[in-house]
Amino acid sequence: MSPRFDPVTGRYLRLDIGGRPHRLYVEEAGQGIPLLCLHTAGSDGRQYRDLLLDESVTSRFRVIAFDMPRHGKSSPPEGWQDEEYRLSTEAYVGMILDVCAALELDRPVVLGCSIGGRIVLQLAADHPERFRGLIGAQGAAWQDPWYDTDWLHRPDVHGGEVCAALISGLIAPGGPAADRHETLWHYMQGGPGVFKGDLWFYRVDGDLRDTIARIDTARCPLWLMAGEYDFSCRPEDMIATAEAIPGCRAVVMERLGHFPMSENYGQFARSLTPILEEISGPVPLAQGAGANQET
Amino acid sequence: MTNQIIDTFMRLPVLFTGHPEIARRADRAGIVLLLEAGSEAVRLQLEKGQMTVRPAEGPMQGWDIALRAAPEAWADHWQAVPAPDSFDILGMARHGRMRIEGNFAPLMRHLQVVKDILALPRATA
Repeated sequence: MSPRFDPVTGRYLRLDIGGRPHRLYVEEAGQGIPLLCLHTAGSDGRQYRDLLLDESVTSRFRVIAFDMPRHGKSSPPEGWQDEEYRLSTEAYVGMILDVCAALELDRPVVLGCSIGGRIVLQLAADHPERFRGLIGAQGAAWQDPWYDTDWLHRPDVHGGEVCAALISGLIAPGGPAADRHETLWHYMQGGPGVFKGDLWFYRVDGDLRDTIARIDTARCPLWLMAGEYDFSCRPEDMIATAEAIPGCRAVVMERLGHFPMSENYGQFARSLTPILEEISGPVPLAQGAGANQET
Repeated sequence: MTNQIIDTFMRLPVLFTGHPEIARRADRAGIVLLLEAGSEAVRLQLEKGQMTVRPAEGPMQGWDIALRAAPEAWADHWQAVPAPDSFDILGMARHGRMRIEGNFAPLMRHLQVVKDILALPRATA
C-alpha cells in the first residue's frame, strides 16, 4: 500500500524579515491566484489545514499558509533569548510584505483571522495596489480587552494550558469535536510569551480606528467576517468597522466562533466560497466541505 | 428557579464522578468556588481530585473565586446548545451575564477544568 500523503507541500523558506535572517515554515497546495493565509495570535498555519485540502479552492487558488516566526515550526530569529517579543503593527505589515516578496507572489489575496483579520485593514489602508483582495475573519479595527494578557506568561500558571483554556470558549458549540480539540492543541503548543507578544499588536499597538479612514475599497476589495459565538471580536465589533469603510462587505457567520477555518471548516466554507468566487469566478461545489456536526 | 439551580450545583459531585476524564485533569487542582445564583450560593471545593459542594453559610466561609449570575443565566449555560451569550463563563462575563470576582490565580491555573465542571449539567440537560 502506498503512503497516504495529504496533497500539501511543506517547506522551509529562507528570507530576511525586518532585515534579520529567518527560517519560516510554509505549507501550500493548489495553483492559480495566490491566497496567503494568516493564522491567529498564539497559533500557527495548521489552522488552515482543511482549506489546504479543499479541492474546490486549490483548483483555482495557490493556498499558502506560513507559521509566523516563533510559531509552529518557524524558528525565532537569532538572539531571541535576549528579547521580549512584542508584535508591532509596523513589524507585522513588514513581515507580510517580506513573505510576499520572498515567495514572488503577484497581487495575492490575503485571508487573515483575528490579528490576521485586523492587519488586513492596515494592508488595505497602506498597500491596496499590492493585493487582489483582502479578507479579515474575526477582523475589526478595535475591540475592548476582556482579560489581562499577563496571565498568558507567568511562572505560576502553565502557559500552554491557560492559553488554550482562555480561548476554548471562543469556539462555537456543536462543531466537530476533533477540530475543537486540534484548535486547542495548537494553543497548548505555543512558545512561552508568544501569544502574549502577538497580542501586543491586538491590544496596544494595533488600534486601527483612525487608519480605516484611509481605506479605498475601489483600489482593493475588502471583506470582513465574524462568527456569532466570538465574544472577543464580536459581530458588532466587526460590523462597526465594516460600516465605517465604504464598500466593505460584512459577513456574520452562524455556528462559528473565533477560529472558523480551524474549528469547523465546512461551516466556514459556506461563507468563504462566495467571496472566493467573486474574486476568481464561479467555483465548483466544494467536495466534502459540507458543514460538519458533532455526533 | 433558584432552588433548581442550587439543586443542580449540589449534584455536581455526582456528575463529576461520572466523568473520570475530567477528574483525572482535576487531580492536582486546589480551589474553592463560590457559585451564586441570585441570592443563594454554594461553596464548591476541589482538593486532590475530590469535590464537595455545600451551602454557603456566612461570611466566615472563605473562597478563592466567586461566580455570580442570575438563575436564568445558569439555566441558559446548561442548555444543550447554549446561545452565544451563555456558552462560556468568561463570555458570560463579557456579555454582562456573570460576575467573576476574587483571586484569579487558582482559577487561571485550573481554568479548563473549572469550565468543564461547571458545564457538566449541560450533558444532562
